[in-house]
Amino acid sequence: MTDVAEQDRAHPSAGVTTRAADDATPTSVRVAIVAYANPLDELWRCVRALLRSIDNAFETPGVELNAVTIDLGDCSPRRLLTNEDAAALSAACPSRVRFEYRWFGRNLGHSAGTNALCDNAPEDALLLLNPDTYASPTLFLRMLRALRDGDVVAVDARQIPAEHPKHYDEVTGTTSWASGACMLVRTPHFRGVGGFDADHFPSYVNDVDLSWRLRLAGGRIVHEPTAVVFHDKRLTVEGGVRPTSSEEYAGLLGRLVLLSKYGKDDDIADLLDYLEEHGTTTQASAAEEFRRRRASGALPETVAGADHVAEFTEGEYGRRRF
Amino acid sequence: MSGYQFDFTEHGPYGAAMRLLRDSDLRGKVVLDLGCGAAAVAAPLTGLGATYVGLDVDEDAVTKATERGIEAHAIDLTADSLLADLRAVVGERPVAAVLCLDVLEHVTEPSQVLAAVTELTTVNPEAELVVSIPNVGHLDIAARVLVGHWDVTESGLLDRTHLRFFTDRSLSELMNAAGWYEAAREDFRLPESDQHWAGHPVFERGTNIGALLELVRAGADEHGTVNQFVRRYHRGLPRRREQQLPEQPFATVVVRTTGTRPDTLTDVLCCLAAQTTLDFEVVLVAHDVDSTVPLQQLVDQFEGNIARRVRIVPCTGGTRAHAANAGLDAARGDYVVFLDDDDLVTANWVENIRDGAQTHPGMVVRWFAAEQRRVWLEPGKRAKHAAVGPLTATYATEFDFLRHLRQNETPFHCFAFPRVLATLGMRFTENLTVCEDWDFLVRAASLCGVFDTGEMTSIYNKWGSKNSSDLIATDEWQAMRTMIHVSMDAKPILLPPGSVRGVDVLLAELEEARRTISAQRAELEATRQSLNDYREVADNAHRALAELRSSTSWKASAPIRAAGSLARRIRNR
Repeated sequence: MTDVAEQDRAHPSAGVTTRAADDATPTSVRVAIVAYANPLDELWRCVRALLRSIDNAFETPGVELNAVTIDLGDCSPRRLLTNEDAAALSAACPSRVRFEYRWFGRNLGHSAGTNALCDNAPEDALLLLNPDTYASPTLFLRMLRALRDGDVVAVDARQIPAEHPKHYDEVTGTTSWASGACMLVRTPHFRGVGGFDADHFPSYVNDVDLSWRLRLAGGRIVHEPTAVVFHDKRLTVEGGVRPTSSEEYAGLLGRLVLLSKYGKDDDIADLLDYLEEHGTTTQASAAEEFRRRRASGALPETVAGADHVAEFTEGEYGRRRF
Repeated sequence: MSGYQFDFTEHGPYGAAMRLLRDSDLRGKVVLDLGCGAAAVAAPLTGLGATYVGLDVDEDAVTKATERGIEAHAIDLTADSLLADLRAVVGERPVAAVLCLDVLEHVTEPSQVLAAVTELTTVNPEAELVVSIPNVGHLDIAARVLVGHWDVTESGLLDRTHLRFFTDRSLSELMNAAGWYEAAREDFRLPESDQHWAGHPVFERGTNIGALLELVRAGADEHGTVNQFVRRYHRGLPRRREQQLPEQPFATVVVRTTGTRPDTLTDVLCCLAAQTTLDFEVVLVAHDVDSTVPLQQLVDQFEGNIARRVRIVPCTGGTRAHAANAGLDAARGDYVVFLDDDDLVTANWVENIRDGAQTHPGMVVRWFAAEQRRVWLEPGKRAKHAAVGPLTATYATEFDFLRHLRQNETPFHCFAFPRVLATLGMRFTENLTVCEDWDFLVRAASLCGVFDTGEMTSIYNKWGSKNSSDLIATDEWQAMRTMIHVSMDAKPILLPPGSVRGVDVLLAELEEARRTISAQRAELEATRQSLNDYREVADNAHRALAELRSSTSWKASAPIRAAGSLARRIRNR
């Protein structure tokens, strides 16, 4: 969007840093946001915070960040943004940040939508971000820094107000999987494992599956608790996180498919037995759909040799802190 | 204005007016007494060296004064020619002061009288204006209106000839608009004015309702027992009333911080920035912070939509309640809500408050929180703090006033209150080192009632270390609790509807518990008695056995008992 001289004037620190040979920090990022029927206010909230967080990273001395593209993919039946809205969002972007808007015209789901946004992305890394989020001012910088080590292929942020209970190493940050609500992943590695498995995990549990395939390919996933993102989750009166309308069905179905993909037949049997006894109507429907897919051979092929990454603990993905 | 024969007394309003001029240099200068009536203050003013000039529309009064050797002139304060008439009376003589004692309330446009006085004293800018005027905000008048009375009298607060009525606020507005600014006051107080209704429970301070009304009135301002405002003013530029009020948000979120937890404060600001309604401001009270620069830098990291909503208010010394009051004083929103710098809220936190305030205006709006255990991590760890437990619903979902008298079940960031409570004198009690929120909530709930939204929109972080609840000793909590109860018991308190049944149930439970305890005590006593009886029998038996064993016959018969025992063993084989 601007020439180099203009960039240097805007950011005096740009171009004068020396980068260590082992510094694998990405220097360009594509932000992939997949929206579906989100209110315009929510999209503005997301982009507004993101732009500030990106700008703060640009302004930080020593950070070598050349370009960022924010790619908003719209899976809604009607366009969420008018041309004027898109132009306004684009105009809000600082130099070196580009805003793009794509209306898919159909509900691709989070996985296929993200894959489409990231297809042929020239940037070093992809920030997968939910539209119902608010990036903290230092989120972008801290996510970038978490990818300084070359063996780290993906990082996720600490979500507030409801912090995710999954376990991570308090010193190294190493964790079983990264949440797709706010995940920075290296583009070659994302592409190398084929992106999200959109066929079997259209919107839920896709991040766990992607993380485990990245780890199977030799990568390390870390959680960066100092990178904070507000994720607009509401609470039930019992203190739980209120699920979205589709989450109960799709989340459970995804869990069963994930168990199948990673060869956890015993766990599937236990879960189905439990659902038979105690499941809600929605959960019973998900179990039924799983059985139908299994009978028709529509489940993914089992990934071999994945026991060391496919961690199911008491029905959850990976260990939990609480 | 005419025909009054008020005498001068040192203890009355006129005496107060004279004392306000005691330090003024009146010698050889004119003091104009507008609406002088019987010229009651002529003598004391003359005694101070002033040239007294009385002015009144009542020609008889003027004649009588003149006959007493007092300079007096007939002047109509409502005449268009007032300024010219005043100038004609004064002539070239310097004016030291103008008195409007019990006058302005008798004219339809007091501002026009003041304008003439202002213009007249342009050549004597050091001239002072002394005003005595009845207070329509006296508690007795409020009580009269409450019981359906507006009783006009021949003289007094509701004199039948009064055309205008003033409170402290409206008097100041009138004077400031005319370019007169208060220099001194000696208001004349009468706890029981001529409007007092002796023996009526609404008027008597010793009754519940009388004490409650006094409490409310005293909270609003300190003028509830003022009969006459007696004030001295000096000249200045006229102040125009603000035509356009500054933008007033729905809510003020007060965040108190000591600046030592930037990480959690950032989380709090993220929560606020993500709110679904942005009709609020944030007052960030920097309590005992050496410099607010780091805080401002932290705020400036955020995008403008939230950063511009944050005002940093420095606050030095005092307790946490002192910081809370600093936030309350700075608040501009219709509702005020507190959020500590280490708690979290969902995106609909403000929206939930707004919805509650819209459907139940004037009430305290309450919701509830989940509790989550968090710990600070030692250096070397990737994070400074982390959650170590799940969200748990530990707080009461509905506000129960009676239970709240015993203990607080509402975290500070789980209720919002109308800011106007501050104008009723509602403050955080600054000598409380803890529990200031509980104390405030109960008092606010008593006045406003509480609307429960039924939503869980807050997360209370229960820290494993470094937080106040850990550091504050139990005995301090107990001491503060006692202080709060003593303070509450000093005044009447309003119970919300439903309290009678609530108290009845509690008393019934208490009676039942007492009955049960009494019955169990009786049972216990009976059991003890039985036990004592058994012990006595056993003791007697033991004693008898011991006596038997020590007897000569028992010892002598030992071989026989041994033979018998052997025979029994053989038989039993």
